[in-house]
Amino acid sequence: MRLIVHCVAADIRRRWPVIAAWIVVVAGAAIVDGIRPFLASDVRVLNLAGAVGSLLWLAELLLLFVLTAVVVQTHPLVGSDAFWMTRPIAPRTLLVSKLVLLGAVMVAFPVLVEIVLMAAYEVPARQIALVAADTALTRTVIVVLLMTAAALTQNLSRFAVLCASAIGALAILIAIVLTIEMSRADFATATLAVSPGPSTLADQDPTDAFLWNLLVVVVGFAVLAVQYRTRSRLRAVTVGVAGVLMASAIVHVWRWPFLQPRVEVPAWAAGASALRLSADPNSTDSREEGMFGRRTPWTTIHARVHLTGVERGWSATVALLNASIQSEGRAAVKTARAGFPVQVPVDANEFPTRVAVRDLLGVQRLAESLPAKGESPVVFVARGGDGRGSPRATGVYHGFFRITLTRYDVEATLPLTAGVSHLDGPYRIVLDDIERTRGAVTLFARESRARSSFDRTLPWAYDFYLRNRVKGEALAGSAIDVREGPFLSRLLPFGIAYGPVESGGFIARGLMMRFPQGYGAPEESAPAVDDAWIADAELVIVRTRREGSVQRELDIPDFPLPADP
Amino acid sequence: MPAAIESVDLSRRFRRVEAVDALNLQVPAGSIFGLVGPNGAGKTTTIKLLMNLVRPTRGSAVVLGTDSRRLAPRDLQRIGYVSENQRLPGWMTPASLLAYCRPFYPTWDEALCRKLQADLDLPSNARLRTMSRGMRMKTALLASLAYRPELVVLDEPFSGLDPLVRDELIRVLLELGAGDNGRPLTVFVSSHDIQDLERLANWIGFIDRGRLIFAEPVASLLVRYSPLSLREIFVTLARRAS
Repeated sequence: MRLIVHCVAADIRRRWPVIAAWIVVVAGAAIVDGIRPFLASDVRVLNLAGAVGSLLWLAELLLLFVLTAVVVQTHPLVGSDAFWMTRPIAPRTLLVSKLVLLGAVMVAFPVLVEIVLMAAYEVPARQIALVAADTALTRTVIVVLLMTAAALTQNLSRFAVLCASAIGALAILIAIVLTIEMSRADFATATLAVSPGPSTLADQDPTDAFLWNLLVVVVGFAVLAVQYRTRSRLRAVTVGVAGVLMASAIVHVWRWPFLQPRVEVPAWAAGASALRLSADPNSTDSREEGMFGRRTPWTTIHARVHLTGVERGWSATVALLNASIQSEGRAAVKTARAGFPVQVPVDANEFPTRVAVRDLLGVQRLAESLPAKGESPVVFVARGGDGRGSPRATGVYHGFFRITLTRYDVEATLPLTAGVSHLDGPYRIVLDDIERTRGAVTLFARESRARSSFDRTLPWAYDFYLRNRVKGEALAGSAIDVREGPFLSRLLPFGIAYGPVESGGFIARGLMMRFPQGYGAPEESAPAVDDAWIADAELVIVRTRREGSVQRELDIPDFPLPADP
Repeated sequence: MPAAIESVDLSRRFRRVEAVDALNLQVPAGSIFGLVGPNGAGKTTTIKLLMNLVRPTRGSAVVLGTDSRRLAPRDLQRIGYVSENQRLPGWMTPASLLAYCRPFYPTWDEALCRKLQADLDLPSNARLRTMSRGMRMKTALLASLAYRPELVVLDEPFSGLDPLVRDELIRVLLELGAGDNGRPLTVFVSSHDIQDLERLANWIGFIDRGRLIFAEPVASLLVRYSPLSLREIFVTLARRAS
């Protein structure tokens, strides 16, 4: 222990300028992230903060590589001329000292900074702990990978070459795989024009990713241990390759989805008789799917499908899973592919989201840029032929569909007054400013969310509406995230992207909400937003979340047979 | 006399070059063994093999009773190593280097360290990277002697040094070799110049193209080839070997 502390102290003395720079940059970036939401209404200051934030982000990225490499390579593990190699420094002592220093500086410190930021934004303690655990794991993965690269190289320039080569090799590998896949018949059309199979809620299970991260850390530690002990790159790389293969095998065979979101189908939808699909056999129409202006081998048959039994405050998507058509004297024809989920009409012909939100808000008129009518789902996919067949050739259609339910809730109702706030668990919003322009209202707000892969819930999506109860009218708003996004968009002073769905980790951002939306073609013309309308208006935050799915069958007699391929 | 270093068929090949070829070496404990050979003879590779800095392709070596491939920190606490090829931490001063090394050696002798520092006339606060080669070698030697090792391995320690510094280093080694702590000090030193070793070594080994040509006590060599000087004996044997 004494020697570990001694080694850590020596490394700090040696590398204090880079460590200090890292601490300043991480803390500075957190401060900029923390104050930026306050600046949403002042574009000049926001631009300045954005530029500073981008520079800090770049500096953080650079220092992440440099600091890891220089700390590890203070005692190089490659070559035979390093001073420490002939000194009685136990490999374990040296490795632990590096892990302690880099763990404290590059994992614990940024996590601590994030914890302080979350606490400042009033995130509940439990959620802070979960998000911090997530961040710690992600950062540990990155640091261990970089430590491994640094341990296998002698100096910073070779480390840079190795990292660049690894990234380049990965890009080339992806390009090769994609090229091979794309060269296979119908890859693009089979995945883009028609669905290989609808996504399931299990797709949002972070267990595999978590397991991968954990195993990468274990394999990284193993490589480091071997390299520190033997200083043999051959052995270390062999252990690494074997470890990665073993890790991918473990992830592949893993059958315990311990982080899968707990999703329960609501009781009203669980019964076999609830949620029924029906279709008019005369409503079918075939479409030759094209891509990039070219015809594809796929023909999709759509039908006007209706869904009944959906409760108020809910909507649903319907996606074809499988289907067959049986006709007299012929073998059953099976669908070649599944279908993408679409919102079919529920009871009435209207677009279901519009109905659900209007019901939830309790208004008669809702102005937003949604389609007027529900969509017609794909009920059958034929490969080859024109899909129409003989007009007289029909059969009995039997299809299986997945119905995925979406729940709508009012998260908060806020008066249009600067300074009002709403806090519910990890979600917090503060209304900072209200700006009136001709025929429109712009709200500036600070929004923060904290989400972790340990939550075991599906993410909420948030949408914003202005409601006038007196007139029974509501306007949908478009929200612009004035916080910068990741990667290249961070090079811009501020981003213009806004994701209504909760993403992972902690996010604090400024929102600019514009009412009416100002894009699309609202099916209902927006009400005149004048002083009188505003006086009675309130901000309603609606949250939506997928809440499970059920499988239903659909039978259509006299279904037109697709042509033989 | 037990051997401080013993190798059996020790070999190391770098691609097509047999840098060390079936080296059978015995360095008696308490001796000052000079390994002489021309440039590229395999001296440095031999020393790196002994210090487990490179691994042998065949054969083995035992250093202070331990297989060289298994030298552990407790073994390295008994061995001092100085090499012209070693990269010293240039950001350190002699004082900080000694402070860094001290905790790793239970036998560190602070009084000896101070005495050697004074004898070698080493500054404390100049960074190693700003120092002359001679000063760096003196610092490395100090950091390898202050814990009273049982074996000191020196790889071309005098190369490129001015005569005054060389004399100082030799004097310090001879003083320590005389031994005042009851433990015999073995010095294994390589050089391409016999002159460096004339005053220092009591054993001489000659290596050429990776092979050990001969190894025997200096005294017996001088008796056998009397009245030739060590340098003349070396030249004669080297010619005969080639």
